[in-house]
Formats: sequence, C-alpha cells, structure tokens
Amino acid sequence: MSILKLAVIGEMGAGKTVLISTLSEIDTFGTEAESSIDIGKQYTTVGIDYGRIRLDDETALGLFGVPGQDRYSFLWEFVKESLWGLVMLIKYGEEPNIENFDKQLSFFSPKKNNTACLVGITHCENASEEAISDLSEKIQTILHAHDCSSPVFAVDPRNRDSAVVILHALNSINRFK
Amino acid sequence: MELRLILYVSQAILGGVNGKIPVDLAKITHTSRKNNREHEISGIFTFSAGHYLQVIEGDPGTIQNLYRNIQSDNRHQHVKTIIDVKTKKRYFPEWTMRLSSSLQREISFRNFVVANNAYFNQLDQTSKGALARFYNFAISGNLNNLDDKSVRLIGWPDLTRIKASPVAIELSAKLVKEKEDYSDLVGSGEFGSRSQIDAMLKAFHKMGLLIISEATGAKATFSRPKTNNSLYMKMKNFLRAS
Repeated sequence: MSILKLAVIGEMGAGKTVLISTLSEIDTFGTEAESSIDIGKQYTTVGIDYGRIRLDDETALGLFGVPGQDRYSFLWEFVKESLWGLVMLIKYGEEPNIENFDKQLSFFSPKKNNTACLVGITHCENASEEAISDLSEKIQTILHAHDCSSPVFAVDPRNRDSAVVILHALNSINRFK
Repeated sequence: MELRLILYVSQAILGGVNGKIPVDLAKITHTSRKNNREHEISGIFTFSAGHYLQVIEGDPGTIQNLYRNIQSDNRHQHVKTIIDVKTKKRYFPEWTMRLSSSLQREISFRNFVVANNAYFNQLDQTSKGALARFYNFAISGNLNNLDDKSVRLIGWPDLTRIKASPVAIELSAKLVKEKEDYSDLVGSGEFGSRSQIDAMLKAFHKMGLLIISEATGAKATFSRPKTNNSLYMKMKNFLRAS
C-alpha cells in the first residue's frame, strides 16, 4: 500500500493531536508527557502523533503531527520528504511566534518544494471576527515574505466538518499546483 | 478639525532564518497600536518585498512628532514621503494601525486611492515605482460580459471571515495559481453553473482579489482527472463519503 504524508505542525496546545484524532480512522498513536507550562491541558505531545485515512485498497494518507518548536526539528526531518500536504496550526490568543513560524517555513519551504500548504488558526471560539482577521493578516504577511500564497482558515480541530475542509483545500491546491 | 495624513514607504531591516522577514514586526505593530490609540492616530501598515508602507492620520502636531520618530527609527531605512496632505476626514477611522498583508484587499485603502486620485496621478515616477510594490493601480475590471475575458486571483480570500464551499475553495486554488478564460471555467462545468461562477467571481471582485484581463484563447489549462485512480479523485471520493 502506498502511504502519502500529511504533516501537521504547531506549537504546544495548538490542536495537532486533536486534529489528527478527528480525521483518523484508526486509533491514533501519540507520545505525550505532562506539560511543564500552563497550556490549558495536562499533557502535550513530545514526539509524533500518528493517524491514518484509507483512501482505497492501495492508497492511504498518513497523518503525522509534529511539535512546532525548533528543538524538535529532528522530527521535522522525519516527515519532510514527499509531503502530500502541510498544515501549520497557530493558536489564537497568544502573540504568534513569528520567529518560529519563519523557522518552520524556512525548513519545509513549501514554495521551493511545491508542497500544498495551509495555515489553520485554532482556539477561535471566543475571538471576534476582527481579532482573528488581524492574526490572519500577520500570518499572511509572513507567508508572503516566504513567497507562499497559502490560505489561512479558522479551524476547530474537534469538529469533523471543520477538519475535513483542510483536506478539501489541500486536495484542490495539489490539483492545480 | 483639520488633520494631517502622511503616506510613506521605507526599507525594512530583514532577519529570520533566510533574511526574509522584517525584524521586530510584532513589536512594531503592538507598540504602534498602543501609542496610536492613546494619541488618536489611525492608519494602515503593510510589508512587501522588503519594504514597509504606512499611512498615518491624525492631529497635525501629533503626526509631525510620530513621523519624526519613524524617520529616526533604525528599523525604517530610506524613509520616503509619498503623500503629505491636510485633510478633514479620516480614511481609516476604525484602525489604530492595522497590519494588512495586501492593500489590494483593503476596501478602505481602495477608497482612499479613489478619493485621492489626483494626488496619486501627479506623483513622480520614483514614487509611483515605490508604490507599485504594494498596490497595482492597473487592476480594474468590469464584471459585465466576461465571455471574452480571463480571470485570476491575486491571493486567497480571507477564509477566517467567510465560510467557503468546497467548490469556491477549488476555484480559488485554480485562480490563485493561474489565470483562466472565463468561458473555459463555465464550459468545464466543474465549478457549478454560470450563475454560480458569476456569484463567486462577484464575491472575489468585492474583496479586491479579482484581476480581469483579455481572454488568452488558449486551451483550458485544467481538466478533471478521468479515472478514479488519480490521487485527486481518490481523495475527492473519500471526502464525498465523509
């Protein structure tokens, strides 16, 4: 069976594990440890989350969640090659870590590698439309600086419909890239 | 009350891994928002191709002080004044300093350009060149009778503000990538009926994203993969069943 790769990258508490769990048709495999800082939950992923979607008997999409902090960039190496798609999750409510976002974009280089890429803003439930749009503009500014024309969505990783939109978008981008 | 408006461009100091992103962008926007709120300064701020463009408007004395500070700020190099005018109204009243990723998408900036067309027209070539990094004055378009036109998007719609259908997302992906003759979009049947396509293009146009030009007459650059074995169709079938 050929397995395509979808990488989901984001900082602690951005929603990687939940997104993969929402999309995966198998029980997800993750490596979690107790968080040392308050991120609104007790455990955080320190390794790779893994889930899978079977497309037919011959093809499946592997869902790989990797931490966004660059000290885990050895895990980025693991998922970097032959990506079908790259999802970058950013948590609303904190000033976005532009430096780290720049490191992720520099490492994965979606433009240079012709990788379908999008950004999902999570934890938007209590945010105003204007506040989310402001964050989206900051993200777009950094994407443009990397010559990336990628869409930015508000995503609820717990909600299947919201999560599936990500796959729709990546499939469309892949079609015309 | 008389106000003063200044539009300037400057060269940013770049940093990050590959020297692509402006140094201190988050700090600049955060600080200017806080200070501008206190001093009732409004405007818009954008970064493109290593340069900043900013419009500031407010009390003449306050704007004078702010602009002097900007000119002596090391993060702004080669500050060039493009427009410096007295005005009676604010063009960006709701924003203490919005960072915009694309002025083309900002209705308030487009209205500002229209209202100050005379100033923009009399700018010298150097100033026009400096502005061209940020804003395409040539983008125009009439949505009437697109049959002999091609269409393209300058960027994705703000999908945090609108809930786009899968078809609208697919059309966006197509038109962000390359321009397409309108007649081919309609003829393909892939993006809905003519009226559905028109409605999507109208929405894109309203967002300032649509570029309309003469049709290329070239054969459509896309076609639906014929077999279910293509990855695109496998995913499509999966999503349909989801």
